[in-house]
Amino acid sequence: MSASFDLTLPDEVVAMRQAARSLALGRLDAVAREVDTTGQVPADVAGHLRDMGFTCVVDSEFGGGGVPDTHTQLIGVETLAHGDPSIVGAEVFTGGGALLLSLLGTAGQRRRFLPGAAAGSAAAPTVALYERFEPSPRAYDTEITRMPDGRYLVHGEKVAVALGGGADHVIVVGRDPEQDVLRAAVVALADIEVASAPAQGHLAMSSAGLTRIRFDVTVDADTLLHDEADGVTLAQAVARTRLLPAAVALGGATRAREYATRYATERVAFGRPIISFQGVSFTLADNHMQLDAARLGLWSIATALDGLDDDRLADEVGRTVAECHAAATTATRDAIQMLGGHGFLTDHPVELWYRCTALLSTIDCDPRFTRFAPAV
Amino acid sequence: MVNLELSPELRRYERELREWSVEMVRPHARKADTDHEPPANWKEIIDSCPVPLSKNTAPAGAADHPEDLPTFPDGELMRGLVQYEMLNYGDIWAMHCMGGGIAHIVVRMLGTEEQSKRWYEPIISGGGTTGFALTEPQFGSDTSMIQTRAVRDGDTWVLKGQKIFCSHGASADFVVAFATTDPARGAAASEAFVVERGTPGFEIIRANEDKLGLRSWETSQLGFDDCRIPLENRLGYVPGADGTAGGGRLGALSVLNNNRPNVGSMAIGIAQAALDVTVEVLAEQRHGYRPHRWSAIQDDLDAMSAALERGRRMCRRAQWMRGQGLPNRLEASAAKAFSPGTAERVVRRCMQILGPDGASTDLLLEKWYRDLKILDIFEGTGQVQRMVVGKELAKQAG
Repeated sequence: MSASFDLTLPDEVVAMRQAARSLALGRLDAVAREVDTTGQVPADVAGHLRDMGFTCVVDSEFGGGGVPDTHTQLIGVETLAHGDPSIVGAEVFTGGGALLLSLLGTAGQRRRFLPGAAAGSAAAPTVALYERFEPSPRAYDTEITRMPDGRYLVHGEKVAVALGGGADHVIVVGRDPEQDVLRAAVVALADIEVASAPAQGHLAMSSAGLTRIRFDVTVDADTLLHDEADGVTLAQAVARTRLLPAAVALGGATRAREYATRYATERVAFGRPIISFQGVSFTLADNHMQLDAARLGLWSIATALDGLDDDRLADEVGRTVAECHAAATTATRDAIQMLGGHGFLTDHPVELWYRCTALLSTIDCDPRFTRFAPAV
Repeated sequence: MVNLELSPELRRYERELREWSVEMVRPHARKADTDHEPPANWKEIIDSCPVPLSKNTAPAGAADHPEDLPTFPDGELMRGLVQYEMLNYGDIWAMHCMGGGIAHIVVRMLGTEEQSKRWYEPIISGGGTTGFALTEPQFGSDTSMIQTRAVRDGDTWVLKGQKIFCSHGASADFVVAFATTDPARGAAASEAFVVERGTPGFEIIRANEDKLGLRSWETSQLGFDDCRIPLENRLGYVPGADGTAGGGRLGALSVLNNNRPNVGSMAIGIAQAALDVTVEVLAEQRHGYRPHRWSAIQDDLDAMSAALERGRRMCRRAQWMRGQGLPNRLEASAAKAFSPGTAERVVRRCMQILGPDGASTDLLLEKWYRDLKILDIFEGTGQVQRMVVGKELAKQAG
């Protein structure tokens, strides 16, 4: 029987989502402020996240929880981000290399890096994906070029590389200009120039250690990941990696919307709960609809990952990600607005979510897909 | 003849103020945010301004005494808007140093001549800091929900309650606190009381609230725990007369709504700064973009610039009307509804265009994005402004 429209989640995904929500609201929520201040994720929280198997995906062959399908991972990451998008976002960025290695790593690369990542004894390589000027992987300025001696020259610059997890290797994703295909190579951090100030901070995700790096290094051929393995291409794996921060943003923003809604039902002004005013309820309704539509878009592109050519895939992912970030940044700013002055205080977590979704929206932004619009 | 341009004289004033603000104010922005206070030498910095500025407190003989302010064909209100925009173009910390609060102005508005002599004139002639205590944890926009209680007990009033978001509250020589003499009547029974620093029962619960932005501005949480003050500390008190001034003193504060276009200008100043920094950074990086992406960015830069100009015109129109003695309630609220919300979007878009470095502490955009958020909340939220606009439109229709 052919597949038809169906949003029914398998029982195991429902159970997994419940477990993720418990961790999000039972633990991540509680340490969010502390992590924002210190930039350090408590060891038990990092362990719980690792065990959930969504932020740092490791093949079961190497002691991990296995590689979930894309939908399951997106749902898991979004649910965890209800607790705190900054912590989960940072873990998604620092754990991104494990996903690529699990999907496309050579046997040697997987043996070398994944057992430690699964056990929490060593950091998996982080990923150098995003670029300053070119959001589409199909047109990355970073080049990975085969040299006459069979080695590869890896040359370029990347932003938002998460070095906060202590990784000593980076998986650089770039374009092979001769073959016009994507390539990914594992490069030692020692061979890379850290271009941004080491103490550079950002609006949020303090534990990620987001950094700009520059590299011009020659590596052996065996540092390259497979172009394709088990039916998954590097372009598809990169697309999946790009979707995860969007899921984080949706999770944080959905929590903000829920928080603001509850506040609006309890806060009384002019003789009634403020949610009874259309200026409040319509705004929250708009937030919900925008987030919901963006989530459906995210799930939709996840379904289509293996059916699009590389050019279309890169653009469709860019458009979907942009829609998620637009919905998330709007919902978190509106959530502060719903709380009024209280939303501006750190007594409430809404300001954390406002900062985090804004930061996430800067990382993978194709200016073609969203446009500035004034408030009125 | 219709003309939406400022006079050449005011434009020159604007230019000098902007250049000074970038050179002298902005370099302290990051530290003011980190330290949660203005630079220690803030007075020296403000005094270095090459053009006269208006302040809430104007020590006698100082160049910034109101009568020493330059006059422009555009009027003083327009000069004020320029000052608000250009100071914030440097950074928002300077605004908080432009005067010691507004409570002494409230004394002048609501108090008797005697009270003005006691609490207003000394601040104007000798400087000082005064705090304004109105908002409470359970209300912001709806002042009828005021719960801080004032109970007459012989020759004293006894205050009990809590206040939040009190500008200069912890460091003020005195605060003007609003309280109700009858909780059932709320704001209708509200009175304003001068509470001097050190009065028993006057507690500073939190000297400076932990905030998303605007961290260098002291906003305090204050408590009044059976705080006993003399009868004459009630604004409007007349010796020999018993009781209150009749309540409803909050209504008299509506003149503070005149500040709404100024807040709009603050937001525009910050967003213009973010836009100009972005353009400056992009000028060095333009070669990195492929033409179709650069074209999209250029369109956005143009749209943001145009939006800020629209907000600027709305603020100026509202103040011009006030200067002409025309009712401007609708226009002032429209300017306030449009400008901060649009400014937020401008700064966020600038960060997106610059990528994650744009949201890093290497630049000030992330700080300005945090600072800006409050401007769509205080002095009337964006929602309240829309309510006002709607009501005014209904009046016109009726």
